[in-house]
Amino acid sequence: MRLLRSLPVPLVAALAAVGAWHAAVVAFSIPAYLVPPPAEVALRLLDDWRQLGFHAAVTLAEALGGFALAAVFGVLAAAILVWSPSLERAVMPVLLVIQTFPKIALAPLIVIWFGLGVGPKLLISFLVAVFPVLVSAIVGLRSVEKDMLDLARATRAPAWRIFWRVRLPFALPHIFGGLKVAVAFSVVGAVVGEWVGADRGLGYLLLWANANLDTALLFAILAWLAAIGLALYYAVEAAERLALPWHVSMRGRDLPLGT
Amino acid sequence: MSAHIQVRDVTKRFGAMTALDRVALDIGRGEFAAVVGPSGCGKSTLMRIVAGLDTADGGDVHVGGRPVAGPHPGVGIVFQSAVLLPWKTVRGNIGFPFEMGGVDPRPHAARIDGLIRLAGLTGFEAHLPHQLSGGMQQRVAICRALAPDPDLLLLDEPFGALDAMTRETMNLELQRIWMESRKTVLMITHGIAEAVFLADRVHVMTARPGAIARSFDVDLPRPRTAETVEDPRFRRLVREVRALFGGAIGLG
Repeated sequence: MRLLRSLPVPLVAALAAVGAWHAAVVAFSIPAYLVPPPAEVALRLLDDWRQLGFHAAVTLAEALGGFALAAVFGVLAAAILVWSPSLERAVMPVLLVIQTFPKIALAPLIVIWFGLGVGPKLLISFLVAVFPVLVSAIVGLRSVEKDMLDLARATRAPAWRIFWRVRLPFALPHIFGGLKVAVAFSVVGAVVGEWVGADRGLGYLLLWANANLDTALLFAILAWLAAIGLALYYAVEAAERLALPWHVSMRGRDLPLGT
Repeated sequence: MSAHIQVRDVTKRFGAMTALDRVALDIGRGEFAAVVGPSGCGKSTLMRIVAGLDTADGGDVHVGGRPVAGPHPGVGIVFQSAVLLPWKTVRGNIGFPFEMGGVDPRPHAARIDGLIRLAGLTGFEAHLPHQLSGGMQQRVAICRALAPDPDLLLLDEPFGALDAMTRETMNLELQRIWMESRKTVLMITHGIAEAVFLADRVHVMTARPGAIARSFDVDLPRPRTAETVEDPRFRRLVREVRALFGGAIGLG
């Protein structure tokens, strides 16, 4: 009991879930091709770690690439749109159409156009991830109080400096909120890209395991995908902590689902 | 000698609404002027035009003999909310005008130290804004406005967001800071007592369209203190100003 209490709560909850999983498989004698027991999945993770690691690295690289493109392009585009209201009026309706469109449905078309290499995966990952960044950056860049901007203008600072020293820092908390959503989306985009056509990556491996009814491998892949998603999310949060200590300390506790 | 600030027949319209209707006033160098009026009478617009943050549709404004055509140097501004940069310390926020102007703040360190002492912020130099009370944040905003040693201080309801007790303290401190620096001050407020207490001259604005109804000279001795508000001359002035609004506003 004392040992249990010294463990962190999330770890205890995870252990309990794995225990319940095992108990359910045994109690209802669920066949392994439907739900393998946790021990079998753990064994596959160990036995196939080399293969899984290779495919995970491919997917991670694609997701990171798509995310990086989305982050840079999203913030740049938002800056330009906030800069020029007439351009925003022209572009915003188009963006809204694209945003509400299920971008994943474009994946087959993108593969037809750009082939089976790494490029189309990056593109799909980017397309799925860019909108949360763009939208949050627009909101963030607009969130600066008018009085604050007037104060900056009154110092007769050049416009680029007002953007760099006032507008962008004020927008960063919003932008990081968008980045946290985007980083999870980027993995989705990479996996979907691999589904449509690939010879490597966890998405490709998923289809292979599915076709062979290798459910233990399927579960092992899902565990890897979960790990990648979590790692990326916490990497963004660590970056936020570094960049915005003033904001992180101010907002106190919140749900790790992006703000 | 010409006035430090000359406002000549300034008119400003927002669509069909006339915010300012041929407003004229002079403020002498080193004078503390207050413009008092109800909400929405255009007094903040007037201040923004003097600051060069807004343009007039008619008339003109001269500051130091030069026509105002945009933000001009030598002006410190304080708004109703402190609008500090939340990621900068007290000292960093006070140095904001230097940073934005691309000026190295180090040669001005002694001056900034003096302001921090004058405003009673000693010991809080490394604090972030969210660690300060509203009154202290506003003092940081005043220090920031004074940091580049402007000739002219523009205050737009500077204590409007503070509670009554903090506000009284801040009024006394503002008078002290002003008596030490002798800047030209234009303060916008809807507090009649506050305006009479602080200013050398009170300009009363009425709404729709915004226009100066009357100006009062306040010849009460300085420094004005808590006893000043008991002075019959003070109470008579407050009464006269209030009468212009029909007693409808201005309990502040």
